[in-house]
Amino acid sequence: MATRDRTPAFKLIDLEYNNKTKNHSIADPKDRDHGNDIPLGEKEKDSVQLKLVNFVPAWLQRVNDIDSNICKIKLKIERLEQLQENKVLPTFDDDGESIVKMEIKTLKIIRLIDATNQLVKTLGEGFDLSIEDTRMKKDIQRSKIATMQTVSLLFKQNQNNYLTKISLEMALPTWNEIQDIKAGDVPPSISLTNQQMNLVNGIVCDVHARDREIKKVLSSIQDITQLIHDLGLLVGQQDSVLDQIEYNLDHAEGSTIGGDTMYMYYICSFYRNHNDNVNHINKTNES
Amino acid sequence: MASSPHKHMDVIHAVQEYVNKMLKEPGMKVLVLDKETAGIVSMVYTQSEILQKEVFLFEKIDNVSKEKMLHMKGVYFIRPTQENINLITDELKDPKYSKYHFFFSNTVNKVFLDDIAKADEQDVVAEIQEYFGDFFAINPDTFSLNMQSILSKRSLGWAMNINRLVDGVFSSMLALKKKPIIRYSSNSEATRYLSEKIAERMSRERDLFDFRKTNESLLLILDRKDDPITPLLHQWTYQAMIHELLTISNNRVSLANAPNIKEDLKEVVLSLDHDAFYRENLYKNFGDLGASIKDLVDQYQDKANTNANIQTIDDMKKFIENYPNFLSFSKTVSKHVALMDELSRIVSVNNLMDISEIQQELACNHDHSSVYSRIIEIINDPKYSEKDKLVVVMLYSIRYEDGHVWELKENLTRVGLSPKQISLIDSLKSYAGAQLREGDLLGTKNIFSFAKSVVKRGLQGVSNIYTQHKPLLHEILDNILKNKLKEQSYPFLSPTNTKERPQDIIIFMIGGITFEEALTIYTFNSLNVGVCRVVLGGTNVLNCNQFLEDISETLRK
Repeated sequence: MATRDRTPAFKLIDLEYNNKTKNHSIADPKDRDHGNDIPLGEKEKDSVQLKLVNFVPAWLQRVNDIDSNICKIKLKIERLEQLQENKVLPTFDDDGESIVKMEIKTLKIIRLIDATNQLVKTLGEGFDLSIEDTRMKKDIQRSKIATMQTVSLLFKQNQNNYLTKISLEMALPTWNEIQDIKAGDVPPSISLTNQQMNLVNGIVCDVHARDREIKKVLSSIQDITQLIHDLGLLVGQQDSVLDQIEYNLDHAEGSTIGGDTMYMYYICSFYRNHNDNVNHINKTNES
Repeated sequence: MASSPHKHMDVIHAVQEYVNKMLKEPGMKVLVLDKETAGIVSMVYTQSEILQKEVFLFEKIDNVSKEKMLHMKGVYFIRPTQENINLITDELKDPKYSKYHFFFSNTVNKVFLDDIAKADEQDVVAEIQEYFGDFFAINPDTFSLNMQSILSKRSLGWAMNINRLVDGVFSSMLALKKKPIIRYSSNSEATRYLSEKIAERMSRERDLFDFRKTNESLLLILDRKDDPITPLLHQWTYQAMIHELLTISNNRVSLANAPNIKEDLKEVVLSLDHDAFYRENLYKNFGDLGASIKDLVDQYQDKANTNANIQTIDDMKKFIENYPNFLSFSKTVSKHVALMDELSRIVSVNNLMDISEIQQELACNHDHSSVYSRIIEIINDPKYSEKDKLVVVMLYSIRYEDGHVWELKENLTRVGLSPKQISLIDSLKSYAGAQLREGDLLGTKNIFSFAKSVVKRGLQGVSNIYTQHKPLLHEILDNILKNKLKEQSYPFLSPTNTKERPQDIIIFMIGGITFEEALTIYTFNSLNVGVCRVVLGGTNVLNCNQFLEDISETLRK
């Protein structure tokens, strides 16, 4: 598609009006001749430079924190992926350092995702926002929630891939295998009757199996809690009239559902689902 | 599939690229639009997608709020109108944003640049660009200018909007990077006038057309009056039906009048990019669509059953992972089921199958005696709507201009139609009577083609009586493909030596296009991949109601 840049023509015309006293750009520090900020008489070596005023409102500065967190999360996910590619399970002859690193990184990512989600959710809280600021805040929240969704789904996928790899490498022993191992392990010097030995072995196996089950359940629940943070938050709005620019411009004030509202709506609905499901599992376990 | 691999002749892609380009600069931005550009952008992008380009606020240019946002850049995508320039110059005197990036949807004259420069006392204007997205992209090969009541030079809207019309066609050529030769419909003053205006503009802005390599291209300007039949017919393909019975307006469809409709479905969006079902079915006919909807519902039920059957934590994980897709899918299902439900209701309540049958008979065949008695029956039967009765008589008046039109008008009066309604029959004749039309709309001017069509019908029968009509555009495209488009009927604006068949063609129709014609273009493009590609544009997209309204506007002069 063709375009035409009229800026040079505009600048030429602008030059014609150069006689007029022009105040320079008042906000963007990059485009300014910094020297002009200092009164002529004070343009000396030791003179104190006046600080440029930052016009970005305090509440909006947190967007930079959010962006920087998102960058950090992406970077950490990449690094974690590299670690996971190199190492799946510890071996007898390594020091386990890489596994520890992986654990630390995973925890850091989860914390960072949590913290960033919190930042997005509470953006603008405690500030006296104007109507336009409020609209902007909602748009920023929607945008950042969508980015967080993508990032945390990426994290989930990596973790899932890693878990799949682990389970492939670490095939769990069957009941019979456990029986054989345990039977062989028992030192002959312990004077227990065969019946007692069988009982002990059975109990030990039960305990191990239960332990594995509990860990699995816990990790799954953690996964789900994490997924709740991921949330397909914007899906409700996508493909609907609420996601149409023209519609929103026509209904700028009244009916637009903002990011925070959407966030809370989905958080609530997901927690509701989650709780229902956990109750269901608990009941199943009890029975 | 409606999406096109021919990105070089794809109007949706062209506008998307313009938007991408204007938002590519990093940093927090406010996107400022005017009434028209808001629609233009909305047709190709959703708000969520634009938000991802660091646009954190959308504003209308006429927004009265003066709250300063000096931490934001203002990206303006607006039409270069005097009204917009006034708003800009007012704004620049007391800038709201730190920097201003102006993207005009058409050429900006020196006076406007001058006005902006004068107002820019604080040096806040960073750039001024011309990005030629000055039309509403509907399908990859179809666009509209959303202008009503521009049927002819006599229409009320003509004088007021002629510049917008030239701007729209001009921008479509630049968006598609074409420097075409121009042809027009010889029997139409309006098409000749528009051709001349465009040629004049091309000559004035010749530096814009300095493209390195272009295919042989053609701009063919047609007049709706050459084919007044197509907009009067009931349609039976999905997109065309929705527009005919419910009206699509900038991809939005109101279902507010549907009985028992849920609140969130009172207005729905139909977007080719975001709705796969719509994209895959917009050209399917009503019958096939029923099967597609059934498949869609079956798929939904399968998914719903899977989701309902959560037994383990793994099931729950899968459910949550798939939930966003499922939610989106369920919304798509509800939307299309609601649309189909409403379409079916309207078809049934208004007995549209009967009406369509007689309409097709009038549009395609020449058998006066049987059709006349059937029309009398329809007029006298209270189960048919007044509008449908009127339209049937209008179609009759086109097919049999010297037939019993007067008697039919008497009949319409007797069953209660107002003189104003009935006067539309005469308005149609004075707008698009046989003497005023170019081309062979009824296939009767050429005895060979007439005989051929009769024999073909007799031998082959008709596969679907409701969709047998082919717009005049079909024949024009056929002639273009054979490089046999008559110069006498469609002359070149300026003498040309080229004898080659053009590869890229923009067809623009004054008076509006229809979705039946959009389907004709789509079919033509699909059959001629790599040979010839056509983009169809029009002053607006007509349905029968809009066409009748536009005809009545010609009366007011």
